[in-house]
Amino acid sequence: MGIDFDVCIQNMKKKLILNNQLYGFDKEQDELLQIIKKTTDFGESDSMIILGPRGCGKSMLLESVIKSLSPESHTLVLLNGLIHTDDNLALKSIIQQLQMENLDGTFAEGSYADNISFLLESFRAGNKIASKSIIMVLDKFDMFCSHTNQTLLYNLFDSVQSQQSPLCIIGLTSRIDVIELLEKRVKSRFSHNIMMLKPPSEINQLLDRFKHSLIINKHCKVKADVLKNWNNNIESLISDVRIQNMMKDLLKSSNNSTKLNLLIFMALSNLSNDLILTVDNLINNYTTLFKKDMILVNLLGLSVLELCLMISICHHSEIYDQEPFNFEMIYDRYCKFALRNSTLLVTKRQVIIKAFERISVMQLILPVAVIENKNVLREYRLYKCSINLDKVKTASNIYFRLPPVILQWLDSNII
Amino acid sequence: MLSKSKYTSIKDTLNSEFPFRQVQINTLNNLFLSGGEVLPPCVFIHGLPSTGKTSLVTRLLFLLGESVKSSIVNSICCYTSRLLFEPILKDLLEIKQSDMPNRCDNFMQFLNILKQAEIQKKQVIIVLDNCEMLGQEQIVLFSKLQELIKSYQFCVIFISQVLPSKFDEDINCIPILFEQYNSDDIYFILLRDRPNNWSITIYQNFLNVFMGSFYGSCRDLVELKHLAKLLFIKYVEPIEDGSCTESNQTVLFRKISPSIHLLLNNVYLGTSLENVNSLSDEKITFEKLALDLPYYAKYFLIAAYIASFNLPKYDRQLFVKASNKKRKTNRLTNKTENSASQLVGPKVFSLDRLLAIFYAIIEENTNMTANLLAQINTLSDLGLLIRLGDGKLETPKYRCSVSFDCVSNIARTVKFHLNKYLIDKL
Repeated sequence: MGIDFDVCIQNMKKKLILNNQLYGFDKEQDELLQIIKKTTDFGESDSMIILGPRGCGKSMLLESVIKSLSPESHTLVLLNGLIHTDDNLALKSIIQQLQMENLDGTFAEGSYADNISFLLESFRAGNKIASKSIIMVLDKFDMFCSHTNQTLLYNLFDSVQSQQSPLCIIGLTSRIDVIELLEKRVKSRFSHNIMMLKPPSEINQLLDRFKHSLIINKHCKVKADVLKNWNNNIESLISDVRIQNMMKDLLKSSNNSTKLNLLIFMALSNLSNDLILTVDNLINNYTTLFKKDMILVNLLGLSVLELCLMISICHHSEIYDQEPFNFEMIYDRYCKFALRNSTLLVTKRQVIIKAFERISVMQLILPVAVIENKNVLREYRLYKCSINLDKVKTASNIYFRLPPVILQWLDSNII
Repeated sequence: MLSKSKYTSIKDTLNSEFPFRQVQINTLNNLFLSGGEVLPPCVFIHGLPSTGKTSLVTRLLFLLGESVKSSIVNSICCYTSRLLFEPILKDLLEIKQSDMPNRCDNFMQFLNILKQAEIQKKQVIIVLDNCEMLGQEQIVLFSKLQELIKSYQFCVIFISQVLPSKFDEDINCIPILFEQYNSDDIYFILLRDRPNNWSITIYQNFLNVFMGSFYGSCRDLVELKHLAKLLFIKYVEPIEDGSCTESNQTVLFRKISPSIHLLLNNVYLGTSLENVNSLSDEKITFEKLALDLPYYAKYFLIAAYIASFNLPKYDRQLFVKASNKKRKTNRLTNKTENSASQLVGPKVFSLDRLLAIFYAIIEENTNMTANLLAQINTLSDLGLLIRLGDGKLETPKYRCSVSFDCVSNIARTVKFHLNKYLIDKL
C-alpha cells in the first residue's frame, strides 16, 4: 500500500498549497461572472473591487470564475502591488503579459513615457467588437494607490470609461477604506462596484473545509480497505469534541483559511508510522503552530545577567511610565541592585554593554529612532521596551535555579 | 529521489552531530525528507543566538546534496535588492556572475527569471539567514514565493533571532523553535570538546567549576566553548608543573579562581589569554585609558567633559572665584535635579564656552593661537569630540564623547582635580 498511499498524501498537500478549492460564495461567483461576461461577450468595459480580509478567498473566487471562461475569449493580465512597486514596473509587466513587444520590437525596455503612450494608443486603436477583451487583475490594489499621482490607475480607469477596447479591471484588496485612497479624478472614473466577501464565521464551515481537504476520493489508486479506513477515521475526527474545540479556538483567533491549511499540512507531514491521522497529532501541531508562547521561551533562554537587565528595563519603564531609556540608565539601576545584593553578579561595564546589545539584537527592546544617529553615543541611544513586566515575572517563576534575591527584586522596584 | 534508507541515515548523522536537537531535526525531516516532492511554502526558524539554527540547516542542505537546489544567503550582506536576488539566482541557476543575462534589481525581474528557468522539476530551497535585516515587503514576498511561482517544490526558510510575531501577521509560515540548551545540555556538549591528552575525570571536574561560575552570565554556547578552551589551559598548569595532584580539587580551584574572575569580567569581549593577562595589569589599563595626548589637548578634553556634563548656569559658581561662598548652598538644592545628567549623556556646548572653561582651568597664561585651536580639530578628528552641524557656522557646537574613566585618568596625568568641577560628583 506504501507508495500509492504516499502519492495520495502528496496530492492532498498539493491541493492545500495550491489552495484552489472554493467554498461557498456561490452568489458572489455568479455576480462576478456576470460582470466579466459583459466584457468578454459584449465588449463593455467595467471596473470593480473585491474587498475582504486576508485569506478569505478573494483570489480563489476570481480564479474559479476565470477558469470557467473559455481561454480564447480574453487575455489575462495579473499585477500584484507587492511585486509591481511602481508604475513603470507595472507598465512593463502589462506590456509583457499582453505580448505587445512582439508587435513593435522591444518596447518594454523603453522609457516610462514611451510605454504609457504606447499602451494608451493600443487601447484606443481597439474597438468594442473586434478587439479581444482584457481582464486586468490588480492584487493588493491599495498599494497601487500609493504610486505617484496614481497615473496608472487614472489612465486605466479612463480607458475603461471611454469604452475603447474592452477592458475589465478587478482590484483585490483587504483595506476597507480603499476608496478613500483614490484621488478625486481617479475616484470619479471608477465604477464603484464593490463586492464584499465575508470569511467563514461558523465552525461548521471550517469543519467542512477540514473534511474536504482530507477525504480521499474514489478515483485514487488506493486499496479499498485503506481508503475506507482513512475516510472513516476522518469522519470520526470531525465528530470528536477535542477537534471541534480546537477549531472553535482557531476561529476565535483568526478566520484565515490559510491557517487551517497550514495546520493540515503540518499534520500530514508529521503522520505517524501507522499512517493514521490522530487527534493528538492535530492538537500537538496546533499548539506548536499557533499556541506556543515564543516570548516566554525567549526569556527563559536568556542568561541570568540578561534576565536581570530585562528586569531593570521593565522596572524603569514602569516607574517612568513607558518613557524611553538608554543603556546608562539601565546600567545604573542594575548596578545599584547588583552591588547591594550579590557578589556573584558581574558589573563590568563592557560585559553589560554586550549583554544589552544582545537583548536589542533579539528585538526584546527596540530603538526609538530607526536610523542610528552617529552623533549620539551608543550608551545614550534611546530604546523602548516591547515586553511587559508580567511576562518577565512569569518567566522568572519558571526559570531554572534563579537566585532568590532576583525574585525578590522583581517584586519591588524600589532600590 | 532519494531512498528511504538515505533519509534515515541523514537523520542519524544530524542527530549525532547536533545533540539535543531531536525535536527540530524531526520536524525538518518530516517536512523536507520524508514529505516526498511537496515542500512546505515557508518555514521560519527562530531561536536565540548559537542554538544551531544556521549550522543545522546548512548541514542538512549539504547532506541532501544534489537532490535539491539550494541557496543560502545571509541577509546582512544584502543592503540592496540586487545583492539579494543575484546571488540566489546564481546559486539556483548555477551560472557565474558574468553570465547573468540581465541586471536583476527588483522582485519582478527575479520572478520572471525564476519562471523562465527550467528548475520547476527540481526541489528548490532558499535560505535567508538573519531575515530581520530584510524589508518587510521582501519577507512577505518571499513567504509567498510558492504561490507566486505556482510550484509546490519551492521552499523558503527564514532564520532569525527575532520572534516571528514581530513580522507582519500576513506571513503564513511553519515556525520551528530552537530552544536554548539547558545547563545539562551545555555540560554534555562541552564535554565533547575534551582535549585528548587529559582524562575524562579531570575535564569533568573542570567543567563543574567552569559551569558554576560562567553559566549565570553567559549561555551562549559558542562563547562558552571559547572560554572553556582558554580556562582549561590555566586549570591544568599546576598539574603539568607538578605542584598539585589531579585529585586535589580545592587547591586547583584556589589557583584558578583569579583567572575565572578575570575572564568573567571579559565575557563576550572576545579576549584571548594574553589579552587577559595584560588587562589584569592595573598600570597598563591606566596607560591605555590615559591617552597620550599633547598637554593642551588634554586640557581641552577635560574642559569639554566639564562643559558636557555641567549645565551652563553653574559655570559662574564653579569658575568665578568671587562667588565661591554661594556655591555650597546652591549645590545642595540642585543635587537631585542634576543626578540624571550622567544618565542622559553629554550635552552640546559651543566653542566659546569650551574656550572659556579651558582658560579658567589652565593655570598658565597661553595665547590663543591657531595652533591651540587646531588641537580642538584634532580631538574631533580622533573621535573624542563630536562636532555637530556642517562645520561652516561661525561658532561650531561640540559634544564630548569620552567616558568619565578616561577623562579622570587624563586629569590624573596632568594633576588636575576633575571631581571638584563636576556638579554631580561634588
